Amino acid sequence: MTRRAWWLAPPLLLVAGFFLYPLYFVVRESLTGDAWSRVASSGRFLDALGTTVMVSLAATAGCVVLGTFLALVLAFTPFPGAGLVTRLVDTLLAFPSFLIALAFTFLYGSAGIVNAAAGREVMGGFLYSPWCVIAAEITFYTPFVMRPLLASFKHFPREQLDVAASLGARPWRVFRRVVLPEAWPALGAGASLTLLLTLNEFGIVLFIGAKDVETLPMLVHSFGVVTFDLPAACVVAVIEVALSLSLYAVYRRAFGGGR
Amino acid sequence: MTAIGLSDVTVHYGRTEALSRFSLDVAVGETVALLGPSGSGKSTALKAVAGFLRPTSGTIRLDGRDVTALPPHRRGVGVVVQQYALFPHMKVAENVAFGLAGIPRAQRKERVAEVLAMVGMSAYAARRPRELSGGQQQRVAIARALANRPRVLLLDEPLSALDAALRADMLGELQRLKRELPETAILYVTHDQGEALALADRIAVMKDARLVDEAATAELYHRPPSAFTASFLGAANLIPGSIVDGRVAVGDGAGYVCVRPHAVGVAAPGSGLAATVTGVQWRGATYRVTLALSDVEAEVRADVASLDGLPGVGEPASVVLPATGLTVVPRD
Repeated sequence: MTRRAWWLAPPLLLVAGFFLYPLYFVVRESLTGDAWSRVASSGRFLDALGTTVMVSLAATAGCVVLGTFLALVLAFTPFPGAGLVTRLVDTLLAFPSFLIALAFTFLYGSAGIVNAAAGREVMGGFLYSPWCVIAAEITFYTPFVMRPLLASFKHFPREQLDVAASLGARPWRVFRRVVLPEAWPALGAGASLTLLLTLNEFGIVLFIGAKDVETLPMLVHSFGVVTFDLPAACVVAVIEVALSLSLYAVYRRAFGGGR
Repeated sequence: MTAIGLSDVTVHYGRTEALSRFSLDVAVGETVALLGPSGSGKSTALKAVAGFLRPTSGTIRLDGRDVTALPPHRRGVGVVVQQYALFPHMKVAENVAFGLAGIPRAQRKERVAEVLAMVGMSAYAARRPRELSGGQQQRVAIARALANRPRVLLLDEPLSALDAALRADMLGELQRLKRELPETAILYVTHDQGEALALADRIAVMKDARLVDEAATAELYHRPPSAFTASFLGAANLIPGSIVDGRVAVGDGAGYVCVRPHAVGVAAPGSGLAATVTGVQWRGATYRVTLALSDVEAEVRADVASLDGLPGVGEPASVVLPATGLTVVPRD
């Protein structure tokens, strides 16, 4: 064996022991009985798949819009305290995601701050709707889009913006034609990462507990922990893993620099 | 007719005053160079005209119209910057067409072809900026600025990023462009006196955020009004003294006698001002001899064609000043 192979052995063993081996059991468990056909033909699975994709696409779109806007403001319109705002947003990245869900409960719940301030019930069923899940995911994942964009904007040559403006381009056209094409890789990377993470998001969905929002991770939890249908839980888990891996492959292919 | 008018323009970066009560007019078809060392405020003045920064006070007019509060996209000036600032993801032709969004497609193509031909870049229309050399990129940047036929062209150190040989070529190109655009007012920011002398009808010399002197190019070169302008434009020798009855009186008066190195002669002791040779540099076509005057604390630089018969380094010599063409400037 070459020297290099020796260096590779420990991490490969770790991956095999703690990830691939359990994954093998998950796959094997999913193959017991008629779990696959049961899950595939159940409306509940298809609903959950649809909900998962819809919620994560909507949340990602929201993150892209909000994250791009925030990055633009923070990078190009210097105002006192911009650095502080950037650090605050960074701090958000350090929090567990369910904390956002809890905060939403205090803000928008029936006894929450918004209703208390209004003096009557104004939030309606917002807290238990898919919109609330999407809003919470946007709140939590926006920094994942903003961070790489901010890094790319910070290095953007000021002269290009100036010259573009002197050529008659309004700010929106400067952004669309000059800044955005250069920021695509950063935006793409942030957006794909957000899509990947929102597809697998569990904490926010569980804590908000919106009644119509059953995503794939929730379905795994429900099958495995609530109804003790372990084979079915494993089927959904395998599908979830396949979905994540294929998205990750696309992400690496598009932004991984060909490695 | 005034194309560019700055009156009492002051610009602050935070607490620093980058431009202080600066006034300058550029007539239609005229080229004015803003000349000064780095940090003298010359680029700031140009940026204020372009609208890239907002003056703290003062007024900026383009063709008589007050544009002080207008954003850059409504000023209609062409701008070329030192680092070209081409849009990297656009082809050369797309870069040039960027400012032509408002005109019909066929006419746009025609205009792009016309300005690319003007700067000799027609063959490169389909290239990307990164496939071009620095000089080629700057030509494209100039074409892009000219595409919309602006009446005002602002050039901010356009040749500073190029190497010496290319700079000389491009200087010739800019002279030709200037002839081809007789209606365009050009404000040319540079720290290089050679570029200013070659291109400008008038030169405004700047220092420490202020205008020092401003006059027609030849006038400013031959009769500099201040010691700073005399040394910055043409690297004149400044010898403390005055001119009395057509003769130089060294050490006398409150001024400097100002003389260019190429007009100074060096001879054996006895025929002029007593001095000692302190150094000799060979510069190819000429030798630069530096001398220390004996009667007054001053260094004199002289450019001579040959060292034959001249005293060597450390030896006594004399400095011979020309009989005409000397000016006296006040001490700062």
